[in-house]
Amino acid sequence: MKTNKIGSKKKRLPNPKRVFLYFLLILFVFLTLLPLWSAVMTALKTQEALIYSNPIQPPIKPSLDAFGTAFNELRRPILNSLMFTILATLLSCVLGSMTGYALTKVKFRGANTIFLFIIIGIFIPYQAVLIPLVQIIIELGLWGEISGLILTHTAYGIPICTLLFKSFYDSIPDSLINAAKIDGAGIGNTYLHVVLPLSVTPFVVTAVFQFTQIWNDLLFGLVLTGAGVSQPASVALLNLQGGFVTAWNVQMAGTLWYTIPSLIVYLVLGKYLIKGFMTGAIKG
Amino acid sequence: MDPKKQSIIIGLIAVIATAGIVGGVMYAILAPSEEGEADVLEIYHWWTSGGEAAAIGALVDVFEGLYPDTTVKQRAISGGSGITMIPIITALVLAGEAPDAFQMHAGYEGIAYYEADLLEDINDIWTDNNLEAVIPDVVQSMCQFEGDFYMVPVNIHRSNVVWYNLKELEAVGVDPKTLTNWTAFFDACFEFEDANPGKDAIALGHAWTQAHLFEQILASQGIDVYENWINGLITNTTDADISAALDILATFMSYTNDDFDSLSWNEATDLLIQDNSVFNIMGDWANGEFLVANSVYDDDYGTIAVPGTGNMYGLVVDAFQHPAGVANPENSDRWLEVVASKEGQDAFNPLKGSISARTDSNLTLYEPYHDWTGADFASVTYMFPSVVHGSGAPQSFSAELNAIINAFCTGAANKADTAAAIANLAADNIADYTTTWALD
Amino acid sequence: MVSIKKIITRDKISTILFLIIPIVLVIIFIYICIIWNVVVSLSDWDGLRPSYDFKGFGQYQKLFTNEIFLTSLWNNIVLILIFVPGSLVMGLLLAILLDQKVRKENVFKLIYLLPFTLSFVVTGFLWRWMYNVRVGVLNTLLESIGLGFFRNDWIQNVDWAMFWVCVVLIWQYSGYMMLIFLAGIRSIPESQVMAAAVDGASGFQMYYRIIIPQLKAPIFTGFVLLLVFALKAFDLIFILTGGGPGYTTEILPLTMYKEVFRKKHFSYGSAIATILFLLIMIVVIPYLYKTYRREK
Repeated sequence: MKTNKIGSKKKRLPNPKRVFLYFLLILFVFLTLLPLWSAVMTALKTQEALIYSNPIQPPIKPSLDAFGTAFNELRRPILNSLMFTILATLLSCVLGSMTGYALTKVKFRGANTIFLFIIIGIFIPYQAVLIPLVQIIIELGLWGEISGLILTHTAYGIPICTLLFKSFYDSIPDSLINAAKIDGAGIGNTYLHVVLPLSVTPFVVTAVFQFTQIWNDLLFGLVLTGAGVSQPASVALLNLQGGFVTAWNVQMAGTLWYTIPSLIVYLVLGKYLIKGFMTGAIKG
Repeated sequence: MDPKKQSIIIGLIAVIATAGIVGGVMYAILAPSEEGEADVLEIYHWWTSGGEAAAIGALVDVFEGLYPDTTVKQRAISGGSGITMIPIITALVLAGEAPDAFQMHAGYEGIAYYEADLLEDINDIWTDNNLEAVIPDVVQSMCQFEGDFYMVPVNIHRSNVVWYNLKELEAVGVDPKTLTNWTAFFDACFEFEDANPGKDAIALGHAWTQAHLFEQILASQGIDVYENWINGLITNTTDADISAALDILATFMSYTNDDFDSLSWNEATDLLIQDNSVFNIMGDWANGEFLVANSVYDDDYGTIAVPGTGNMYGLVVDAFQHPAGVANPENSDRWLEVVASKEGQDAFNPLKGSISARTDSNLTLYEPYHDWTGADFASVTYMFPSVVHGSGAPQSFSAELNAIINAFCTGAANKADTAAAIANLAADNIADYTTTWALD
Repeated sequence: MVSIKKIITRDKISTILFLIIPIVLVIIFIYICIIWNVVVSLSDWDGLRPSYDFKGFGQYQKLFTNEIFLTSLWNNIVLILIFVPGSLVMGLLLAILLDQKVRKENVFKLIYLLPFTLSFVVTGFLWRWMYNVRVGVLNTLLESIGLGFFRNDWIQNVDWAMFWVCVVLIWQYSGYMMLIFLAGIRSIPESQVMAAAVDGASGFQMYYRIIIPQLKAPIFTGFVLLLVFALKAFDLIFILTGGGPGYTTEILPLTMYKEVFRKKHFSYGSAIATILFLLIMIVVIPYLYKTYRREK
């Protein structure tokens, strides 16, 4: 339901209020995108150009050198990140969906309590579990391995994924479920044939959200891999800074490389994320 | 959403999922498995830039020359003073996957590993290679815990160095060799700023460089003062020597560049090279900056000891050790021997900008700057281990010192609070003290 | 026909199968880890060798007399006080602006939400570059438009560093808050708006009197979410300032990390983590209770 601005019919002269409105909006766009713009400009410059131009000016002779250097360093880590992010996202979504369904559509006592217990997990600071987590992963022999990261991210993703799916499933009419029951479907079959086909939207919303969360993580990457072969791109980006000197063009180029996958996901599927946020996944 | 879109998205998800799973499986099978490779030496360090990287490369070359069948895997983790590497080593060690050797500052930096029985003593390496004869006493004590040797030094950097822009000083009629006390030094600063309005006499950088400066100033108050300080004996919040040092620091700050807190150490040294300042106190890794700019020693630039420390050598020592339970213990020992050998050190140090830890090194291989440090190394009365660079005091001590001095230099804390904080460092970290240094 | 009993049993098994993995994972990785962490904080583990001898609440006593911890705690509070209202206000502002039947509304939404999807690692580096004193974007921009005397040392400034850090956080989260508020605004019944318009309410009055008071729920939600983010902002500060200058931007998660992974004081660090956890729970548990109680 949109709030109607009274009397806003098409006018021939621009309404000063509207001009001001668009001015503000564009100003905020500028403020929002300024850092990114500067990053792109900086990444396109050579070391020398960096010294002689200011960070917002486009380079006179754009150079892709920085991108090349950064990519060499980040190639493997980005591959690592893609690998565990995609797998962990899939697992989180599947588990979230199953859990959300079981706690919403299967009416049993204690469902709500279990639900509450699970979603408290959304809010825990990772520092409060960090030391034990490292120990567990070490014990399982998964330290320094991508599988360790997959397990970790899946486990910590369950609370939010459950919440997202449950919010969506709440809006599926119970009558659908009951109809399936009457037809003799058990819980599993109901899930497969009734609920799952309806779940494309929440899958997309959750997948985008989880992908972003996992891709962006730094802390787990830092403490669970040794900046070795399995390091995520976020940790590698940290390492891109020179020992003492930071080559800003390379650093910015690296930052942009790192941003690209999540940016693509966002631009392609962001609409669903926004829709998801707005239609009540985050109502409370 | 409409069914067509729905099926497209389902299709997309299915494709990505399959790709992910197939990729994951392939990765697990094909990824180079690190264990099971026969002859490997894995070393961690933080020498990622320019001269440093070349130096460690040369050292590795010496090793590979001797042991051509061994594959050396270097993991260079950038972050000055190992700030990023140390947490990673912590995690690795906890996970029982310590590398065969990792860079460490000699002295306290290794204590945590020692106390957790994670280092093996290497007395035999010291004996077999006759190291006690060629490595100075103070350096030796930095390589020991409770009387046994646990590491070998790879280099000696000097910390108490004042770099000066000779041409600019001559232009204002100052002879740097006369600056053996703080009064003369600050007079020279004044002369320069008087003749060059708008320029600051001293170039300073951010973070640890300030604490680095502080420990030099403290040493200038007397070797016994410094010794008491690192032995945790200065606990009086109104201690006279600390107070005097802070006064000097305050005067010092009045001659420094305003944007010091945003400059890295080499950006500060660069100010000197660009004729914007005349003095910079920094360890001798700064020499590399001058070399890159084609400055000539004793012509464009020069060095003196920090005023008041003429008879001292501030030590910053990098070392390697033998972690317990490593994958390739033989290679670990071999690496240590190469590191400590004359050949190894003569390959490494000229490129690194430090001098060899051995008194029998080939001094002709070095830059003119090293004539000065080499001569001093052989003739000074006292040597002292740096706190800021991980050797002289427990890690918590130096970590907090950085913040305390930074607060003082930026004006966040006044002298009284800073003095109190410094004094409290001893009490706060008393549990971590394990050595009593004897510097004189 | 399958007997009712069989159906119920079959359903029970199915339900358990559906829930077993997530519940086990949550119990291990969340609950057991939290408890274990508290155990470590009560132990004497110091240094690289794990050790679990009970040592009592000594670490907690040490905490509350330790200046670094108290500074850290205070900084966290300051961060919350600046960041949370700041983001709420910006979010509300953007939502109101976008509520004005703007053309290409979706494009604007997409752009404003963009920072939220960026990793803190990215934001950290971007803004380090923005705030760089000598060659950074902000200072050179100010100079080039003649406002050179506004040059600042930003996050190097002892008094204002935390403020500028909060600006970065507000930049990151405003878009998200905007979405929440926009959803809230749009869920207000059209009839109310119409009625107010008939009564002669101007645009401004409309928002002030009618709409904003009804945004209590999204404001509350936003408040809680932002609070939690504020208490978790480790990645950003780690990269942006490392806690400096001095300890002026040090916050609890960072202190914990440094204590454990640099200084190897495990039990002390875990005590810090426990305090952080309790602080968050104080806010979160009443919130969850209030929100989900009616669903019981």
